[in-house]
Amino acid sequence: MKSLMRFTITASNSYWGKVVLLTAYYFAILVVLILMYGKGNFEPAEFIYQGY
Amino acid sequence: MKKAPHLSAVLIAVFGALLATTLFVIYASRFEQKYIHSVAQLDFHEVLKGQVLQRLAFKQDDLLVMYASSEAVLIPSDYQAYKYFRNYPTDFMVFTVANKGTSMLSMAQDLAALGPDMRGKKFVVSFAPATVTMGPGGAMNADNYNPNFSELHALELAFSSQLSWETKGLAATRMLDYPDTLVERPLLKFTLQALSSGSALDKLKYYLAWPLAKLQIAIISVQDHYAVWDFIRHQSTEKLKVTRAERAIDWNADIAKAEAEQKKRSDGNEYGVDNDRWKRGEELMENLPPPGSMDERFKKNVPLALEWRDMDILLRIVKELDGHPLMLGRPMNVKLWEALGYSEETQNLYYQILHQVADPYGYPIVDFHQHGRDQYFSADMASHSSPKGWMYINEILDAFYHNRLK
Repeated sequence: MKSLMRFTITASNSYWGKVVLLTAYYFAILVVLILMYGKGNFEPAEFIYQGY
Repeated sequence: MKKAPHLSAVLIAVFGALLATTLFVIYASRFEQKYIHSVAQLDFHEVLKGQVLQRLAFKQDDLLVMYASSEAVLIPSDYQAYKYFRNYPTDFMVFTVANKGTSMLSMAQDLAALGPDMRGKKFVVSFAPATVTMGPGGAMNADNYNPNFSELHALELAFSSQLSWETKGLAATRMLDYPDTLVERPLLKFTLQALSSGSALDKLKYYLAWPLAKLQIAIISVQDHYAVWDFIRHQSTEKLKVTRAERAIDWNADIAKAEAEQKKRSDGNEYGVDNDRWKRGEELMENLPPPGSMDERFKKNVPLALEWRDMDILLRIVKELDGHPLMLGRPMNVKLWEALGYSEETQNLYYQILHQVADPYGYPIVDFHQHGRDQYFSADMASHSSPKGWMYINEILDAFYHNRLK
């Protein structure tokens, strides 16, 4: 965990390092949003028989 | 740009997500192509509200797509088309797009969503008299229409560039009769209202909604690919195995076999109704009205059935998309309906109106009118097909596929 923190701080000192970290951050947000809301439902709901 | 790392990161992340989505769609499309013939032999109602499979099935020369309702799926038997033709005995298989409670209006939307993929293709539209003769107002009620409603199909119809404004307006007006399907879909509701109205201002509103709707269609289409991919990958290898075994079909022998099976399935009553579906018939038989006493009711209600209007909308859509359908009906169960007070002459009104609506479009129609007195054709009062009925249907499907339909 500590080494990850150190890596993040070091990387964020340079412009491109910051861009890479932010890209991963925004990408993760997109992925989570897709996982939360992205799945459609294509199955018809249960049939109610009308007694035909 | 150099001073805006957030902007650069957002752009890269969005581009990456779009690229990943595109790559997934390409991969899924290949996967679907590989398994489309496997899907044809499965019950795939889990993904019925999508469009991926229908489109792909239309592109296969050895699949005959059949749109249908409960007459094709409510009563399972080995003679259902997707089972009977499973091994491609005469070089093709039937791809059944059907669910219980599907109405002409639902089918019309599903077909409209095919767009240019329908052009020049043969397919089958299956239907039974039950919705017209037994549905409230001669239409599918909301309890059945709503569960079968597909936002993707509806949007594809509403924003189809192949369909005329008039046809879309007619469909929209009917779709607005089922408001529950539009409650959480403001864009679709807004569009249908604009289409239904047709005023110059509403047309402007419609075109303003166009980009947003196309984006919505694109998103749902990606979801559709995911759902289909997920559905297929959860099937066992055994289920996905396709076997082709050409054989000559002895239609008369198979019809006789199917009739024997239906006789056994309905030996508890004299109307050919499946024993496990006879309870309702038995109740009706307790208090039979005099012969012909229900004729006036039939004559009054059947011509007003909304399902005729929806059939006309469906046929308009097919015409404008240049499809080549076979309209495949089912017969009235004459003997049973006679017992319930409807004379055969009055029952024939159903066929008369069917031809009045469908004949002008010039597509082949098979209504099985001549089988009305064959008590083993249908398995119940609503003309859900029995094994014997299926055999006659299969014979017609085979003839239609091979251009032998007289």
